[in-house]
Amino acid sequence: MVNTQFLRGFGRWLLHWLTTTNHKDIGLLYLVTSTGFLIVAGILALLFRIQLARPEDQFLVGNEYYQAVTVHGLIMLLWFASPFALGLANYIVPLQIGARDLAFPRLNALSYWLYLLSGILLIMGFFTEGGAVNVGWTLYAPLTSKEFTPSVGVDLAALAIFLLSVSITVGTINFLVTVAAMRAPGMSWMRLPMFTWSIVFTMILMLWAFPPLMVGAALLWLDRNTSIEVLSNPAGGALLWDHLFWFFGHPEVYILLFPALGAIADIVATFSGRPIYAKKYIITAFLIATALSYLVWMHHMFVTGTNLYTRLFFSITTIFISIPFEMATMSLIFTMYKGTIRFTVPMILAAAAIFHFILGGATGVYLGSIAIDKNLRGTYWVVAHFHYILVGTMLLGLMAGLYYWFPKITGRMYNRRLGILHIILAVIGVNLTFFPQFIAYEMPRRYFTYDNPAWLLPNELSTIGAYIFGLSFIVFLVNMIWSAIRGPKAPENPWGAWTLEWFTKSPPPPENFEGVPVVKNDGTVVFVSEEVVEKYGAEKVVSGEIPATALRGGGHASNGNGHKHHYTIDPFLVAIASFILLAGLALNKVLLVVGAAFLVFTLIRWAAKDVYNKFFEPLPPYHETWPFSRDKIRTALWVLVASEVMVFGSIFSAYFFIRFNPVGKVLTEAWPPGYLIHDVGVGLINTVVLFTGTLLYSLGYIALRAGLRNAAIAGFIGAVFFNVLFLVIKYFEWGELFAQGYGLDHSLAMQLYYITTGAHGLHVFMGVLMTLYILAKVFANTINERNMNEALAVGIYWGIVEIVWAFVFPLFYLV
Amino acid sequence: MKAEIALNTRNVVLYVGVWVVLVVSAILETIVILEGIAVNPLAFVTSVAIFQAALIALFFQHLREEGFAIKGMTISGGALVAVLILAAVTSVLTCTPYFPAG
Repeated sequence: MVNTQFLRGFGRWLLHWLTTTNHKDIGLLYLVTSTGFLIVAGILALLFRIQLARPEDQFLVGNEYYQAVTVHGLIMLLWFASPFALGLANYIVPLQIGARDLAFPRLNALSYWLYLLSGILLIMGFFTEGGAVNVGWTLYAPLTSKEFTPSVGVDLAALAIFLLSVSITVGTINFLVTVAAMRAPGMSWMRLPMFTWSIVFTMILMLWAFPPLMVGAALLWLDRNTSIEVLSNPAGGALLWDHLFWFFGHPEVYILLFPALGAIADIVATFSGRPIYAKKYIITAFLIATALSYLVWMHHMFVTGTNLYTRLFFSITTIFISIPFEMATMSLIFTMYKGTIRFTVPMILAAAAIFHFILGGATGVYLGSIAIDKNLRGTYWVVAHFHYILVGTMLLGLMAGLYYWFPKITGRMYNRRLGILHIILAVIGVNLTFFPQFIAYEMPRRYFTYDNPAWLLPNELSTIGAYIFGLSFIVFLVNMIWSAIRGPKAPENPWGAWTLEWFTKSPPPPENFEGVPVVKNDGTVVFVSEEVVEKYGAEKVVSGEIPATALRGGGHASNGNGHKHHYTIDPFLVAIASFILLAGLALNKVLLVVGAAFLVFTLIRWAAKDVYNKFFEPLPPYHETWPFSRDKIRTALWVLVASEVMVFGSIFSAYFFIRFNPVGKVLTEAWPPGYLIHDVGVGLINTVVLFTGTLLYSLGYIALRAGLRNAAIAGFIGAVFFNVLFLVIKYFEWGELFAQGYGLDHSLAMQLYYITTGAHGLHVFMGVLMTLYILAKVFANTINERNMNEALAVGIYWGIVEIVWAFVFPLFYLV
Repeated sequence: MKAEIALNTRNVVLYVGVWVVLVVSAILETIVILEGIAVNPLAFVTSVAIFQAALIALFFQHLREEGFAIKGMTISGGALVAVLILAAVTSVLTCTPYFPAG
């Protein structure tokens, strides 16, 4: 009986977590999962620190050592750091802006499940014959080619990165739309807390940094499993990978750093008892750093043989990017200066993180110098520098954030003594681990052994430091778990902070706030019902021109926006199907087929509910949305388009790179003019077919708006017909090319052709599915004035498909 | 009602007009390239493609109706692609070859 009750209780608990879409639940899932990945990567680090403690040790050597180092790096950077910040962001950002959830709760759940399963895909490598990926976290070509690394672990890593990139893209759209279009009345951009600002900049960085990585991962998989050799060809493939990887890789540093700096800024302001100093300038600094971060990636490529002037340009931008971070640091210090500082655990930890940031930042500026970088590249100086940033600043900063918001998340206070013990051990651990590595600056990284006696002491100290840091983490975990269960109850606002998340219960109710939070012009916060906002208008509530009796302290919003439909298994199922599909690509064809079929089924299941608007939730009209559209789907599609621009931009960068490669022309073949290979007439006809499809869709949309149902149906069916016709023509064109000997084996030019037109064709196919979805809604009479923008959004999508073809046709068929 | 019909008619004419420009420009660029008229074919077709992309974005995607934030985001994406392509091409054109010719 007890067992049955237990099982039922467990079943309900499990079902809750599998089906929840509430941002707070998803935030907790991110925090717990990323901590799990941190433990895995941390254990790997402790293992290879044992190996490095003494010269010529045999504890962990060769392939095992390389696997440990590689997976440690990949997990820490991609599966721990950003997702941990996303966990905090998921929980805190909607609260800080006064929203009830993220803009797209189901997509938020999908992001999480894709993230979790992508991590599992990576770790699965340990259980395959050749072991996990072992080529270093930078996955440099041509070491990743099948010739040099045949193990399936590299395939799994490429597919895992691809899946993670999809997850990140979906999450990016969600966060940007949420902050753009779901801010509480009166919550202007300048009133956003620094943590939310930091997440906005992080998302902007992710939006354009991850597509090149996603394209790179796809190319890597294709290189290893087909005749394609875009990355593995000896004539520049390695350099191309460097571009794609580091165009992601350097912004990634700020993707990791910004959320920690944002959390530190909120903590410093609260515990100094004064607003952040020169907030406008710190936001400007973040903006400058965001823009500049896309102009520094080639400092990772100073030794690749690129010309001196290019190196000089990137050297200058790299040194220049330290300025906005100096501005941010000075702002934090000035906030503390003359403030009434309270030495709480988050505040002390934040101060420690700032100290490490100064040390890590200063040692990084040297690497911006071409001459110094040439000598220090690939040494423990670099390792020490980026670990001061990633562990000493980012990890401790995010932990400070977790301590800070712990009372809000759990409704309980942490144990201060354990917190102080954690800080002492963590600061000793960080400095003992990484400072000696500056001293051993001549020691090359990634080697599993050494024979230089001068490196013994730094390595011994480093290993002892790593274990002390590991111990500090155990203290941290014990504190978190124990306090979440047994800690004293926390009040709503234990810190006397003034940002919006502290104006609700701890932990917050499912709808976050009782009533609509409004930030008045004088900066005070009031709560009103939705009826009051609708009656008086948001502007009057914000300016305080409503009767005092209209204010309320309780009651739920009338239409329950954002928490009515919070349970669905669809995101989990889609993620599982994607996981099986990708695992099948690497391991087993049967799995591949099962995964593909399951994915189709789960997507249809998901879309079928949307045809009948089961989850349709228009945004209430009172949200602050300037300078964006009031419609979240329309804004979301534009963010997706911005991401797609970079996806195809990355593919086109490979095109131009290979086309202009003088070494390639000598070693492989000249790029023949397209009209000598392709049938220009067929290409031109297909161009007209695609343009016509988009025109018919647009005409269908106009008809839909005008209420001309039959004309709309005709337009959408016409769009489907012409786009399917485009795919059919493309299919036969490919067949003809293969028959004429212009297959994948022919040349890099043909490989690029198949990659580009293949990716474009996939987008046409997805556009057809979207149009069929709109058609289904028209037939079901479920599209109306309120959700009309779904049809517009599909039109925006068709636009990007057409734009890509406007470049593909002339670049491949004509020149 | 009349105004709405007029607006829809104007939109239909506009979209068909954009389509005609797109198709005609594609045909013309094909002729220009095949006849060898373009001095720098790659620069020419890239310019035509940018022109077509702008037309599609402004009209079929309704970019002209969006605020400065969406316009800025779209342009920023395009600018970053240009930066990546420019850097990649520059680096490969001027890179010390890994493997000498011959």
